[in-house]
Amino acid sequence: MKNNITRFCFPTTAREAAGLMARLGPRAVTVAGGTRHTRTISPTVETVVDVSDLPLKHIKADKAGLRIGALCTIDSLEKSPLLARWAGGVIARTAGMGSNALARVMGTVGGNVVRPHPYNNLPAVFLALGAQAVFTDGKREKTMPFAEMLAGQNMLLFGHKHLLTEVRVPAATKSWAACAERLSLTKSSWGSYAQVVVALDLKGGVIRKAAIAVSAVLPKAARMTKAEWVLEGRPANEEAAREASAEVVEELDRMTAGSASRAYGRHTAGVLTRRALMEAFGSRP
Amino acid sequence: MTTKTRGRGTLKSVNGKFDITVNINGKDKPLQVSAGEYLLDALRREGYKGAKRGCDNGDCGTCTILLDGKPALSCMMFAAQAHGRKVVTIEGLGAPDRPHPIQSAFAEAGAVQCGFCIPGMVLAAKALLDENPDPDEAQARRALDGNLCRCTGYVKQIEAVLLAAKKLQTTGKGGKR
Amino acid sequence: MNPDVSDKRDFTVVNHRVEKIDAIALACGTAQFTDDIDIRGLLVGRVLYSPHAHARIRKIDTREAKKVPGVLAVLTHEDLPRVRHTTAGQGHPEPSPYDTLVLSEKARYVGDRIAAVAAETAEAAEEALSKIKVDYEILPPVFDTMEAMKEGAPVIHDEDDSKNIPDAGHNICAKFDFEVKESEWFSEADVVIDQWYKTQWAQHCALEPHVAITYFDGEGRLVIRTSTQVPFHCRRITAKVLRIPVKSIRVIKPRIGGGFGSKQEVLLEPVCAALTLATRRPVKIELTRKETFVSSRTRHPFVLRLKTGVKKDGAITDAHMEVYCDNGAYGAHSLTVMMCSGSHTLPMYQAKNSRFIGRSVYTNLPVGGAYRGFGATQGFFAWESQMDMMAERIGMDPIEFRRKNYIRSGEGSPVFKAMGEGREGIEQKIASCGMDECIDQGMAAFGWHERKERNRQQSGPVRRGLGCACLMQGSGIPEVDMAAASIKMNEDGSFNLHMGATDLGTGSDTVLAQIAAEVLGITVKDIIVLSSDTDLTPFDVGAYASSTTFISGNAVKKAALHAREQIVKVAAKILDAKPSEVDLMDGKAVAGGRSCLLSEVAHTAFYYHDQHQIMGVASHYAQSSPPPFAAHFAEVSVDTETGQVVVLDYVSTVDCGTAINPTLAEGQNDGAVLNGLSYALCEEMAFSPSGAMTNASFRDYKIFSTADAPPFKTILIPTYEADGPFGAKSVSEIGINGPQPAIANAIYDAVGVRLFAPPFTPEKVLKALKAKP
Repeated sequence: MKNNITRFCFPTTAREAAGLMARLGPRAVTVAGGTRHTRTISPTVETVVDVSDLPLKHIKADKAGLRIGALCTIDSLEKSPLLARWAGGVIARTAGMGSNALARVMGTVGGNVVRPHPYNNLPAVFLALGAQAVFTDGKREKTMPFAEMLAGQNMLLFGHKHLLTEVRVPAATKSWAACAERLSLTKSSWGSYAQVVVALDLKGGVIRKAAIAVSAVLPKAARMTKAEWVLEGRPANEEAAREASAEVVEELDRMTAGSASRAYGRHTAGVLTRRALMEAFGSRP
Repeated sequence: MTTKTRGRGTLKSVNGKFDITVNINGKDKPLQVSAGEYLLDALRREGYKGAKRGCDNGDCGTCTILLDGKPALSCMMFAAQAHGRKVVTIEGLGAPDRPHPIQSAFAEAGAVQCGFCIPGMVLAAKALLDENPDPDEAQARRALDGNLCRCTGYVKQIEAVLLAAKKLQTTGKGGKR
Repeated sequence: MNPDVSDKRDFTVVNHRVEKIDAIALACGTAQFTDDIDIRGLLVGRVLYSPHAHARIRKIDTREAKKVPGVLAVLTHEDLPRVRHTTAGQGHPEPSPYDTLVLSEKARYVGDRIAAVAAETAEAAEEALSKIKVDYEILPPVFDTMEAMKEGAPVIHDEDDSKNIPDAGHNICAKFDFEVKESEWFSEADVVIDQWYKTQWAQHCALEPHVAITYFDGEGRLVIRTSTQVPFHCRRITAKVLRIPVKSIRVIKPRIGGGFGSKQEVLLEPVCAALTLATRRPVKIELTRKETFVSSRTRHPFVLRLKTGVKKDGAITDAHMEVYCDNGAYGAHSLTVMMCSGSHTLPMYQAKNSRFIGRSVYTNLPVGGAYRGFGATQGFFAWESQMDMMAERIGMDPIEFRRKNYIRSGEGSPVFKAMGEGREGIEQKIASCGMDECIDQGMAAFGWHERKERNRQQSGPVRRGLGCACLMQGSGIPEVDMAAASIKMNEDGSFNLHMGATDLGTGSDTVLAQIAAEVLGITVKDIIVLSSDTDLTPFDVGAYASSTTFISGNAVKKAALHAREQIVKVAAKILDAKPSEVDLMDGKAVAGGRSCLLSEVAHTAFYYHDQHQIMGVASHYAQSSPPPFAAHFAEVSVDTETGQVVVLDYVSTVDCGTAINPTLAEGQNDGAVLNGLSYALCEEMAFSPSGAMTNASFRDYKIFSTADAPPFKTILIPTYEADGPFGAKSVSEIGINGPQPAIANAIYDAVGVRLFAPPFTPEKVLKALKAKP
């Protein structure tokens, strides 16, 4: 393939890597797992910044919550004992959904969340858990809620000029009831018709807080705020799940402007929402 | 940029070529690679023909190698990215006169038909068995789901992985390399 | 010679699970595929494809392309002999229309080959492609099978030099009609069902893309090293289209990374060779995955109509079968695939009145070709769905209904005679049929009755259902396919087995070596197999039509018997016995308690007495095509809220006569069944409104992985086919025909909706569920 690469850098600190990216802008590209974009390098790129040596492969918990290094592979999330115990194991479960073993072993958290491709699984789960994305531009560290990052053009901006170093998940979510559902043509399909993650703060059978994130049927993961309102303050029962599910379909209908080609995805997101909620209700601690 | 005392530093091209060193099958090997050349192309050019080209898009697994012990799609990596890292190709496992137990298991189980996907699959199996010496069928299926095969239906290949696990446990010839 | 050898049934090598002879080299990555050799000075060949579905080429300007540094040749149709041919690698004269040029003079689909380039590097080749200026006059395209036949539809083949197109003006590239009638149509039927079916575009997806390397040897002969199923057809067709003598060409088939029919087409070799002729340099063309999807070959999609009549007692009275086979832009395998949808299905059902109306149709889409199952797959989807519908209408158990109707040993069918492959067939009676055992053992292993019983009580949104399908295929093309082999003895008692039979990953080298070893009383370790090289091995039509074990196997068996006769003669002298007393076993010649090693026999022949080379040569063509039979059983779950269908369990039984190598036979069936399952549930080539394929990658065109494959099991049902080598019939194709109908039947059993257009995606199933009255 024709390209204009003249330099490969292997930075060992995030600061160094981000410095390169900030300085070189479109003349550099960052490569981590490389499951996708090594085949589509822009002709402006002269420097490949291979960030795989950065010490960003941690999965740990402290008082503030969970900290997941941007270079953790999807596979390491799936197999993490810590994640298996966090919010009903929803991050690990999501990491294990779709694509295949090779993609999961190579692909990284960073690559999965900074590129707005509808077949990326992790944005929805981090969105539902109210996670923060931590970036550096080589000088300063910036923290931004996932919701904000995904909402605007920030994602693209931060994927190219800033380096994502970590994802932080609030401590409170550890005991939340959560569930992820995905329906795809086959188990190992990259894409899916719909992906739904629900995360609930349940106490005494009542939903105190609810988060529902939907992806695949939308170009980027998004929260279903109206459906969340339907749930909050209500008993966790089938009626609540059905109403929330109907609300999700309506909300998606608005967001996709009733597109006929998305009709099946919207319907499926509704079904998956109800099922995820029912499972989350049943799995509460 | 300051030169790093640790790490892999920076590679600059000279006349469009990069000089890199890759540890291939246990030996450090100096290679000259082109800018933007993929690791699969470099390996095949250097004679490691066991790594196959099935799609050049990271979708089929025939180009699988082990990179620092983990399976990796060599068609999706620039060759220069392998600089300073450990690569194991199928040739590094065994040869027909001294096959690795996983290779023997694939032959014995009838898991090889056209064989084009087999080197990648054997390496994926190696990575699995290094991590989990006693996988069950579901784990074996999951570990191999990135290695497509159109000939076998995978039935005998999964049997082969389980047979290989048994062989490695009895011979003790497992372990990382 | 010992008269028992030919008909023996107590086998020492055959019917044993011998390890595939090339397995270990393949597992070690040392076995060489086409591209696994280094050739000094190898040029990169690349092809320019049409971006338009239908366009006349006014002018092609290659001047700028030729100026790109490193470019050695740029070819268009103007540079090549204008030889209309078919790419279908079939016996000569091929029953496909001669409608193709190596490089097209008119663009007939998105992906049609317009020009070819050879350059020192891939980058130079690509740059040259981008600099070829083609002046297209865009023509209206036609993408729908039925529309293409209508008056006024765009005429795709309006050239005047194509041959054997029955009705170019209506885009009909093949037609065949046939009828046998014992009574008035539908006069005896209690129930008549008239149903249309539609199958989808699919691709073979061999993991090794098509690849060819061409070069001149030291004597100036053209060597073609290629991933082909048909080395001898490749030599003939390449010679013809480039107007060079057959004797100037040598085709070498190394290890092949799967073909499934796609490599039965002579696609790359002529264009690659043309580049070598133009540059006098070695050239390689290796298709990308996208090119393999778009510009190699596909499974023909079919529109089928079955109108069948049945009596209340379960007898099928009438079978009216109408098929419209979409061939895409060229007519490869148009007549034969279309006919096989009827010739492999109609005889099984034994209707009194049978009618077949077949049309193959040009459209501006990728080209159909041979694909495992070869029309029978499409035919059985319709037929085995219809069988369940008929059984339901007359209130009969679907399995009992099947048992009542299927052809049995000793029975023939007028269809055998009427419908061959592209020409009249031959009369035959079924000599071996294990269908009853296939059904009995399959049902038992699957637990059909237990599952039925269990499924009576179901609730909730996910419902389970059972389905079955029964199948047959052929074993080679009778009185058409020919295979030859030679076997040469070495002084250490080993043998060189040379055959044109083409192992494309199926294991035929092993199976055929087992047949020879059985005859010669040795093991396969003493046989060095070479297949295939047109300079070194005798002729064989190649690997297709499920012919290798049955036809090439018989040739090998005869060649081995021929060698055996000579061995016995020499051994008789050594052992001081009559030739009739000599037997061969365990690598020795044995007579009356005395024995000598085969190496001693060879030594004697080489050096001591009446010196000569012991060598057997034989060829074989068949006068029958004994069908293998199979029964498939599926259980699925259908999620009524999402439409998702999951195959929970699948059992297939197959009667392939004597399984020469049970492990490899199981492997063939396993692979066919999984391909069928994937085809039933998720595989479909998708096209944009302008005819460009939109999912030409494994990421977007899904084929089943280990994670997607359901639990499934193959059970071999032994029978003995007298015409086959040591009782063998074919096994490689039949299994792919079952999953589509078995799953369609299981979906109906689960939720009461019937799907007539695979693949059965969740979206489609949900739509059908919602439309359910």
